Amino acid sequence: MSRIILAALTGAAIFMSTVPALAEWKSYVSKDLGVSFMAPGEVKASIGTFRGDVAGPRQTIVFRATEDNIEYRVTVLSFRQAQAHGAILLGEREFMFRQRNTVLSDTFSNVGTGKDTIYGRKTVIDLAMNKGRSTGAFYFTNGKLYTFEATVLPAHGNLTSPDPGRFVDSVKFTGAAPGAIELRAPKVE
Amino acid sequence: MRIIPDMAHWAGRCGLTRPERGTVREEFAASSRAREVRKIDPMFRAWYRDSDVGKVCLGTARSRAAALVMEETMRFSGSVLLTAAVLAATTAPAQAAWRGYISHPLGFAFAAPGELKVEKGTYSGPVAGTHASLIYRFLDDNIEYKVMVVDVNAQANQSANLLGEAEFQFQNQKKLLVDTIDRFDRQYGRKLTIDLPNNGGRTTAAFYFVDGRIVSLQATVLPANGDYDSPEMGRFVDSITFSPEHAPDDATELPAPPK
Repeated sequence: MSRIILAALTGAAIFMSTVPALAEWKSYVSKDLGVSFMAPGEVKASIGTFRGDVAGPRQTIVFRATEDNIEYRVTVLSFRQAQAHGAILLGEREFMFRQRNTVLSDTFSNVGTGKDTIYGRKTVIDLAMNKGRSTGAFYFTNGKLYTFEATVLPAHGNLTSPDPGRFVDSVKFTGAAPGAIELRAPKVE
Repeated sequence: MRIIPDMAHWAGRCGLTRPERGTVREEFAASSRAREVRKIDPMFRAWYRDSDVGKVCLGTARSRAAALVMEETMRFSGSVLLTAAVLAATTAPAQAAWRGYISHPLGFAFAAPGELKVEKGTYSGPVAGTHASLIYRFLDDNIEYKVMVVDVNAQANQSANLLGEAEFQFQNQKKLLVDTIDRFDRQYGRKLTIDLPNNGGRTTAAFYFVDGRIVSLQATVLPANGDYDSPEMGRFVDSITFSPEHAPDDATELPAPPK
């Protein structure tokens, strides 16, 4: 009996050593952009571009990480001169995210409480041509449009993974978890 | 229907070589070949005149006459019924006509039935605080139509948050049936449908943030109406436009709010 148990434990240890280890989830904060979130793997910053009918062409700040065939992305656009149009800009971004994709859910997503509540939306879509499933959360506050997207790629195999929800639900606009890693936002033109 | 032997003879004579059981006599009677034979063969003429075939022809004519009489009778009956329906409709309570309304200062137009009433109200939320609201209200056929305007221009930089709060409060702790994005006239808003608590009815609403104001159209089917799938709700909320060039020429200018 003891030999059987020992053999089972040995087999489990061998199995665990061959399975690739999943990266630990860490807290990140960008004081420049006033946002914090959690993500696995290494987060890298870059400059991107965005174009909308209302928003027009704009440069974006992008924080990106990829882990276990799930892509995590935070995109921030600045509209300091158009804050009064925030509702329209937010609506346009939500609309573009879901356009030509299959919408699975579309719900309220609020961060904070009371008079500090930031009201946004959370949308889950299946990407066209079986390219995966994407969860997006959208907010407009302090003159900035924030988009949080987590896309489960087909190679992951589990479109119902809880990790995208964990990512979008970790967003904070005030304060950050202790020990959060500070992200430096690249400068846009 | 059995083939009459004489008919079989004459059917062969007239070139109808395979008269079948149940052959309609009218087909035989209408045969052009039979008409030719009738012209040249006196015996066939006699038979045709005296036999059922001839009577079928006559019968056909009579049937047609009878059909015409029947048709006229039905037309008359139909006219009587239609007249009765019109009389019934004119005595039943009429639904009000839909009219267009426009407010140039507020920058929108919409359509609604019934008599317009203008009221002042109060709107409040944790983010928005407390504000006076302007309400244009209509009532027709136990459906309440309401346009609510809240001036939050002093907080316009929080437009997305204020709009989100208004939408959230509208459906909070109620049964949400529809929640969809709404886009037109370069405006993005939201359309929601809820069931009111305690069987209070069903409301469809649309929310927008325009020029420093929260604008909301809400149509409520009251229990006295009972038709919770009424298309009038959608007709009302979809009638909004923020482009005056889209408003009808005969739209009525909305009055200023009471002081």
